[in-house]
Amino acid sequence: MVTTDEKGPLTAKKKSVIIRSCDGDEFLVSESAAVLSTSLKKILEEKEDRLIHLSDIDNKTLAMVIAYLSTHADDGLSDDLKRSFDQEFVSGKEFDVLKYLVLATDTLQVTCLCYTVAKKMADIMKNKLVEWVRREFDIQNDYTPEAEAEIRRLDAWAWDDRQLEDD
Amino acid sequence: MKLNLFITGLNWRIGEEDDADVEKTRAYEEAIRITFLLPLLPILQCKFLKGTPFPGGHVRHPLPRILESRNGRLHGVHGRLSGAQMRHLSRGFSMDPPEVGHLDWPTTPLRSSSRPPPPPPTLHNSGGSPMGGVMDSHLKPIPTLRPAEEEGNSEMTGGNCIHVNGRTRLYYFRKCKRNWLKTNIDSLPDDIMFNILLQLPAQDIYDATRLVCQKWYRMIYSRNFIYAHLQHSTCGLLIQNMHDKRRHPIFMAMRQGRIEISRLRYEFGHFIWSSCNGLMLECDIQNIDTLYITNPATKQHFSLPPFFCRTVPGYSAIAYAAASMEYKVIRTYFPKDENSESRGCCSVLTLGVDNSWRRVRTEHLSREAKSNLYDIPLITEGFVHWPEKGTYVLTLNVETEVITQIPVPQRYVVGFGWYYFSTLRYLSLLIACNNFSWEVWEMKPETGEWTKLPNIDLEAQNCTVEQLCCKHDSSFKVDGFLNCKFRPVGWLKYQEVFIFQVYKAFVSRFSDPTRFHIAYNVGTQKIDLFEFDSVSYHVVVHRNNLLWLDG
Repeated sequence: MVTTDEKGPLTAKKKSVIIRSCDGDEFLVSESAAVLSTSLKKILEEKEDRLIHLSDIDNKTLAMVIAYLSTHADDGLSDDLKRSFDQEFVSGKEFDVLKYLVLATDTLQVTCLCYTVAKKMADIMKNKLVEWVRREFDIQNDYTPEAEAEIRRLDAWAWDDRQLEDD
Repeated sequence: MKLNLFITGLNWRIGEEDDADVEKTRAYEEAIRITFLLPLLPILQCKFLKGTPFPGGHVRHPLPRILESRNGRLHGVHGRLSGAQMRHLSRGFSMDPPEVGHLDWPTTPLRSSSRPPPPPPTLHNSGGSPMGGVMDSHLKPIPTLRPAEEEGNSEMTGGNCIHVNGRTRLYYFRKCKRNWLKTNIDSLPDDIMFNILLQLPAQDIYDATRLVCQKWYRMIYSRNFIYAHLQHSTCGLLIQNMHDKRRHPIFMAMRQGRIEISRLRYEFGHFIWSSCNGLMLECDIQNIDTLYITNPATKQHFSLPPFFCRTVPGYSAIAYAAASMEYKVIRTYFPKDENSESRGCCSVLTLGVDNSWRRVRTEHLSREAKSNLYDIPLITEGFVHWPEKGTYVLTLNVETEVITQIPVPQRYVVGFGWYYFSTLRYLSLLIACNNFSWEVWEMKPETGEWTKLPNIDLEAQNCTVEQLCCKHDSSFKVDGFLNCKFRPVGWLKYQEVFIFQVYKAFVSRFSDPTRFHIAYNVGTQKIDLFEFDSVSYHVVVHRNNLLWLDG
């Protein structure tokens, strides 16, 4: 936590922003990290307020986004390290977490993270059957059986040896 | 007894495969044992007693097989089931009475645990659940893989297909219902969904994603999506085996700093001559007058109007004119009856517009330049090039259909290899200085300007390559082996990774091509070795795209 005594030299050296999540918790972020998000940058340009309240991002998601922003704002890290961080960042996360993450990045307009998460979500869908996607993502099949059969019939051979993802 | 061993083995296998999820796996194990395997024991045992070889390796294999035979429908499944089958089977498993009456009930006790052995299953079950008689009172019936809305009002909930490490497995446990219901991709805004779908390969979009629901179908079949997907797709090298053209071609591309090698899921009937934005030009060697356009991702395939002329046919290419948004096929030919001065002709066909071939003016070209037309054309964005070891590169502007002569950057010296490659944006030229180094040039097609880039030098990597090859193939260094040589194959990623084919040079004879290839990273000077299935192949710069042509 930043006390009043420390705040003086800290702001002089490196400006910080406080971001509040919808759960009410506050996160201290350096300005260099915050400006990576286009929306935060705009807010900072408009007003001098150092406290930004985000009403639609929860604690967990915001913590992840901030971890990402801080890593990418760190000039000491090489691009390769950042790239491997990106991969690590999304790997092993559940689809649900990714969904909130992509919504948060969309709100904050962090393009590169949005891309990374979207890519990860697409990777989950990659090489899967139609039925798998519908089942796993709980999507209602709104094709009539005839319509679906017709589309499938047109290029029937595309399905004959399709299997669940290979090992 | 056998079966207990089997279960232990199974558990061990699960545990081994998911080191990261040891904690989770323990929970699954118990759940699998109680809810899924125990009721299955009699059936498993019967399969065993009948002497069916039990497939090893993967936990998924035994279950679908047995379920298959239970339903009396053997499809010759090799360990895996399609999603549809799996869904069907698992649904049938819990809802329908099982047809187990014909199975011999094993006489040996199945378990050594304190749990009493299950009574023989009956054909007509009162509870509706097939394994009602098998279950202990505190156990829930076997979960099902059913849509969520059915789950909500049913007691038989909790089944899920857990996705671990990118694989799908039948892990049955109860806790995941919450996640299952929450994970609804439909709640995402359209533009985010658009971006997610954009990341998928063309093949996946066509085969599966577009069929998921009508909303996705409409999103995918829009001009915006196709265009965005084209911009987004990575371009790579398509490698077609010259000896066996029916074999699925290999597609190599760089994605996120890694080389991805996959096979195109399309059986080409002919040789691929050229590719542009995912559309491929195929030619039948037996009937060289007819050309075909194919998109392997959308399976679109049609033939072009035949080209009849008493000619010696040359090569063809397909290119895109961006301003007029037209695809054009360009082919060269050499009339037999004319004198040698006028040899080398070129004609164009605009796809969807022309019904016959139009001739392109070639009279203004010098005789020497015209001889270039015999060669395989290379395509950059909006241009077709016929480069050859000579003084000129012939460049056709696809838009205006005018051929120009562009001088090469330096005098061609006989005996030195000149290799031209397309990078879609530029025409790249490699000039061999010696066995291990090449001068690199690039040409801007619009202006015809040549720029010199840093040389590629493999001298330092030579020993590493030799060692790597020997490691993969112990008979690599046969008698008379002198050293490795390299033949440039193409840019995998422009100015980053170049592919070379490894040749074996001998003391007494010419060098032999090998199936080994290296990917040389120009920046880091790192080398990756990989093996193709053939020594002779045709390379085309390609990118997978959903483009389809109407009419």
